[in-house]
Amino acid sequence: MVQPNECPTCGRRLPPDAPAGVCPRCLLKAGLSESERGTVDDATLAHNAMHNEDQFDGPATESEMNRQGVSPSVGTEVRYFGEYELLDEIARGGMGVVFRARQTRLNRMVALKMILSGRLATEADVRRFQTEAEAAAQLDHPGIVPVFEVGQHDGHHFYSMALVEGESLAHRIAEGPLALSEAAELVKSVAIAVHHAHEKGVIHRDLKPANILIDRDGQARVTDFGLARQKATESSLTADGQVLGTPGYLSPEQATGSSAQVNEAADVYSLGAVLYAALTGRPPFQADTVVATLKQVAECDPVQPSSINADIDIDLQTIVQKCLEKRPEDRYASAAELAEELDRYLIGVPIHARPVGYSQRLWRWGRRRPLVLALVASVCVAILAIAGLIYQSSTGSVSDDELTPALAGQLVSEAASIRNDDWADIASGSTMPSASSFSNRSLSLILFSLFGKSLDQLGHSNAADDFHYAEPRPKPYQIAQAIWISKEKGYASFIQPEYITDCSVQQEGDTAHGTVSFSVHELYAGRLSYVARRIDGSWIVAELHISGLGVSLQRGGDGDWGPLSRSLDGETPEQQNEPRQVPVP
Amino acid sequence: MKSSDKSNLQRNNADQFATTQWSLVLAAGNRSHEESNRALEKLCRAYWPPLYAYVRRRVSDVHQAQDLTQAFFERLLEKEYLADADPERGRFRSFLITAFKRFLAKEHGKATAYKRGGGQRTFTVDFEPQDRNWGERQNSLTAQQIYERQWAVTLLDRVMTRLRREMERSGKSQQFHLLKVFIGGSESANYATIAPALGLSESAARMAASRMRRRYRELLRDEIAQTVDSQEDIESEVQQLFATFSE
Repeated sequence: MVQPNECPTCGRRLPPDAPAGVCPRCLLKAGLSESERGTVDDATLAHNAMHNEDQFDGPATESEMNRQGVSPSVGTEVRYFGEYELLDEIARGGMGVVFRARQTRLNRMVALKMILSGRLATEADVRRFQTEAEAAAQLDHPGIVPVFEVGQHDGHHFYSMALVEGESLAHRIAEGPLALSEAAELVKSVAIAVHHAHEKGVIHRDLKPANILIDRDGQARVTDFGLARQKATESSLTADGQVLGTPGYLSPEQATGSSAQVNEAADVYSLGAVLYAALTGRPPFQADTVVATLKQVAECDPVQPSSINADIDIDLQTIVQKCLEKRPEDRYASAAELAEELDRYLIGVPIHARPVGYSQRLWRWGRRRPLVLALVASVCVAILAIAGLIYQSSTGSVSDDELTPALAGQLVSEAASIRNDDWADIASGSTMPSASSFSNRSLSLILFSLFGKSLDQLGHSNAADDFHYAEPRPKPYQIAQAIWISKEKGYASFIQPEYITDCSVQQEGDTAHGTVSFSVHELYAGRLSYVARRIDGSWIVAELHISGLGVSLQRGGDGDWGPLSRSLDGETPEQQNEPRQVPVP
Repeated sequence: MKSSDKSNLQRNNADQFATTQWSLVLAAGNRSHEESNRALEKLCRAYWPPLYAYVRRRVSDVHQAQDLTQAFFERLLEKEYLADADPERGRFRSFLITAFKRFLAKEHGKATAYKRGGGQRTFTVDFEPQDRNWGERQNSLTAQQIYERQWAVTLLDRVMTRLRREMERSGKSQQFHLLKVFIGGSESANYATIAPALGLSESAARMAASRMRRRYRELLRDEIAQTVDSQEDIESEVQQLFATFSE
């Protein structure tokens, strides 16, 4: 239990004059710059580990653990491991076993991961385990399961991390493929988290559905950096070419044991493999044996997703295929680039990747048959040119013009042309709305692009549970506020840059029909339609959109508000009568 | 709340750094200058507790410690020490303790001269709250360590008070009290229990805490800016203060 005079975060004694009753050390730590906090985290973890070593007082734990030898498990009786009360086993993998546990000192539930080999662990096992903990402890991001403590007790190396109540993506996929937009959305948020890790010099190296947990808010959280290796400290853990990872989701460079080549691109590949699995219900490659699977990974092209699931459209298939390219340089250059591409797909603007057409397949075929390569290449050029022309003429692209009052006025006018019926399919179903969900596609495109534009002015760093934004670059106009008003439901959803910079949305009024949560990730990615959803995961955005749309403009940072708003049903709800809200002429 | 508030604060820090309290005092030196006099007095009234804690550790007699503290600040406010060329002057924290050590070295023997009743006090503070907590102080710390820690606590206390007042003004008093503990560290499990009390969803509570943490950082930097004379010193000041709490 937390003692009243003990800091619940670091466990140190609170001084009697603690500012506002909060631990001054933790306050100062929070005040450190992001990079400093990172280095302190390691030290703190180490400190905690030592601190706890001194405090181990679990009854009869050691002999019990010893009797269990290399494979500790939990039966019906309560077991203690240091200050952790082990409740049940959550998962068991190649290297470790994960328990649901209660940290008695802080009375919090954690996931406790313990190395299986215990005292018998080889030096390499121990180092790998420590690398895992070190890598994970560096990362501080809502899309990554945080590590609380790393240590060793009675010869068992362990670390504790946040307990995510929910299910793994593997479990979700086992029930069948996900809806296209759901899969894209999920992998997008994972890609953003993975990109954060890459920025910290950490490569996951074992991304797979089982390592992606979906919490009760529907937020995907990456866990198990079991094979992560820090770029800066190249270790020899895999110098022997030992293959680490789960075959079906491994990159070709990992499958062939070329450990020197494994970098961020390997994770981009695995993200693509996860997306493949989410869309089709199976990994890109699977064979009867590990060796056969690895051979496929290294040499074969995967079965086209659309031939497994006919619903998969060409854009999504293209994105998957680009991730699964054999050569790292042919994939998306970064996880962030993949996230952006999925974003484009989700909002319905043209993606940047080009479909793997017949041309490319022919070229690959030609690579294996160089004699006919020249002939094939000329065919490819012709096909690509024609395909490109057709593609361009069939998809509209959103104007990149600066946002002007005229454009915003046009937007709001368009909003008025939407009939309530048009929202019905989204309001009734649990389908996440995307650009294609709207009958009035052009409006949704402009809306999304506008917010994309607004957010584009805000750089962001992936500072974990906190978000920092760079000062907006000066632009003639930016959206100051957008309001979705539901008269029927009696509340409005306000979305303002000042809150967006803090990654939150203010919601006012009656929320009688259920708790609404707002997803941080989607927010800073600018997806209005994904802003609000119920805890149970069903989307209610359409309900927020029913009655009115308000868009305010701010000019060039001089604080000059130019309000524009429109009631969609002709009756202006009360919320719209704010000073900033005036009808569009 | 306007979105421009935050950027104004940042702009102020960058462009108008020369007008923070300590740099203003330094600029005036030992000349009497109304604005700088006020700034110095403000700083002294804010940061006397660390000095008092320091002298309490060094001087056994409480009254003598109090007298020394008051006498020192009276002299300081008369600008006796500001003309000293001192490499430590960049930060008020370093300046204060250096000047105080010199003062003690010279004046300790004459401490009786400062006994109460010896004259009209021009610098008076309430020592009682500081004394109340004194018994709890670890005697294993050196006087210098006590000074540093007390400085950090005093600084943080000012920051947290500002944050609390700000939030109270915007009707978020309850948020402050329930979420303040998460400024120093977020533990996801607890948001679920606190969120209902705030009438928020768990993720909304997490975001509120995140917003609060961000504002705290801004206020911390703004408060430190008042006691240093260059923008660059702010980050290292946070680090140094944090280091005083490392064992």
